[in-house]
Amino acid sequence: MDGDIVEGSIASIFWDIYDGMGDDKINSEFRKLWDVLVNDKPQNIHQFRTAWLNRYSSLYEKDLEEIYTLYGVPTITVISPNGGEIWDVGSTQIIRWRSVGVSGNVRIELSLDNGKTWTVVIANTANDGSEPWTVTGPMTPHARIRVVSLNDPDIVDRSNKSFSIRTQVGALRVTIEPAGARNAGAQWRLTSGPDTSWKSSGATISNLPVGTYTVTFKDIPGWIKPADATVTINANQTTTLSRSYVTINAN
Amino acid sequence: MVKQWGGDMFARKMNRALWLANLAVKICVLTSISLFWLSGCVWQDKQNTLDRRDECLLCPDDLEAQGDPYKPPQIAPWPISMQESTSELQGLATGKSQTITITGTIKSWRLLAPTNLLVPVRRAQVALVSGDVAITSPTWTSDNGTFSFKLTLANEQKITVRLYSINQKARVVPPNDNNSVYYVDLKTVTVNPSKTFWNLGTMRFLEGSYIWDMLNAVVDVSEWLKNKLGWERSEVTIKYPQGDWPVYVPGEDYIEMPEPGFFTFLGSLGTPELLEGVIYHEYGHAVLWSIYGIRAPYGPGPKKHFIYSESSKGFAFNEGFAYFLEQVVRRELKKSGSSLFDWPLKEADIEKKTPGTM
Repeated sequence: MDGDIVEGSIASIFWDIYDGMGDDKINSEFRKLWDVLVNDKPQNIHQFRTAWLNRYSSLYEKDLEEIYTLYGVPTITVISPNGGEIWDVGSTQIIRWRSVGVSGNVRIELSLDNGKTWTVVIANTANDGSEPWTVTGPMTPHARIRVVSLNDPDIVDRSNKSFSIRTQVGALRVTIEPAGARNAGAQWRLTSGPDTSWKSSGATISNLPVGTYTVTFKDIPGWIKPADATVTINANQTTTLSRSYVTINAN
Repeated sequence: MVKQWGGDMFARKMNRALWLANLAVKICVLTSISLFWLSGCVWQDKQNTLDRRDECLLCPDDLEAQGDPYKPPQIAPWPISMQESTSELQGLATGKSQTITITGTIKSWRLLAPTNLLVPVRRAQVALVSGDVAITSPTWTSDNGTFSFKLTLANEQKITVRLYSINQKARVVPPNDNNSVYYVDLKTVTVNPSKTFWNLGTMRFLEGSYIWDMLNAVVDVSEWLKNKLGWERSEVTIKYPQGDWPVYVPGEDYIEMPEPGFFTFLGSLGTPELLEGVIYHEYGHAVLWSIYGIRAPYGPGPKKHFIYSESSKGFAFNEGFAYFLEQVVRRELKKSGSSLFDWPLKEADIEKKTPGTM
């Protein structure tokens, strides 16, 4: 319909919601419909649909989609992630959606706070129903994806419920030798990561996201510190590292 | 139809056929009224005497006064000017003063075909006047069209029951005159303090009945919304007769309604039910405006449009809601008869993506 909408299709959609999507069993959904109008003030049926789903989650979502299809109202429907998935940071996942009557490319956005705010993860991609995405952090149980038509940003859909972005973690324990160096104040730290403070020998950093880190050592008078070391943190494992300081011979 | 906010405001003049149809309906109405009279209906003089009225109260309903054949109602400034108190009436009195009760029922013959429908004038404002001055505070008719006044009298008094084009939900005003309303004088009688209770019977009228049909329809839809949601819209103003297509004017917040000829032009669809549906529809626009304000969804669309018309997203949304509300109210109030947007038919048409009957 090139963005134009048949007036009667709007009326039909309202009618079917009012009818509770039943067979002319007029019931109580007028209040829900009214609340969307009063509180969200949608400017068109696409915004209405978004507001409805925001307010009532997946209530009648399938019916709404069917009605949209029946009346040729352009629509995008996110299929995956659609709620409940656990995606690990760094893994490659496939975002999937379905569209009807939508021309042009789409944009994919990510929310880490249940849809309150959105950031673009893929600015422009073909509206072909799927797109691989290498999951980025931070961790959250409140992630949602939404797919937006570039030609008409009102045509949009998002994950019905939140999914989780999870970062797998391990631990790192570093020991320093010899005792003289430890007594002289030898310490270690990570150059990046969640905790970069100086640690004493034998200390452990837990809940360290999997990945590669660099360990560096503190300069202390009279001692030559070990060279920086690269360590790999694996999921659910404690990586250990031991390094020795060398005494500077005064002779 | 809703006028475009800041855009080309409303549908163009209807064509000459509409004008002719308008003329035709007036002729038709006059003809039907004449036949009614010839068939034996008694037309009572408005200046009923007490005896005459008492006699009439014993008559079958169909012998009651009906009022004049159709003619435009008169126009009065608004608000009603009222005589300061009943003391003046008492001052004129020569006998003992007495508070009397005056009751009656107001029903209107519908102008649109079929014209034999007689409906109560609901929640409309009515006052007792003497000459052109109200001698009682206005009151509202009930949902059955009944009213009741208390009047303190010391002597015989000629009173007229005057019905105004305003009810508890809306008012109908002449074009370009928001400070006036229409009125019809329904019955003039002479009362006196010798009786404390005066039942004026059922007053039926035709003149301007279209106006009170519109007001009744606003009561329908606004009451339904109130009952359903506990939400109540402020009073709606209907400018009549104005324009050649029913429209709601956002911003200025009024409905424009054309002459009755607009509906008779539609042939068999020109029914009271159609008029009601149009009011429900335009009221739907007024509702959206009321809850959205200036952010109400608008956009370009065809000037004359129907349920299968394609239009911009905002326009279609606004119209779609109005169609929807109209149909919901019609259905829940069990309104029979056809509608311009008769739902089962039009829904099927939409699904087939073919034009409907209009």
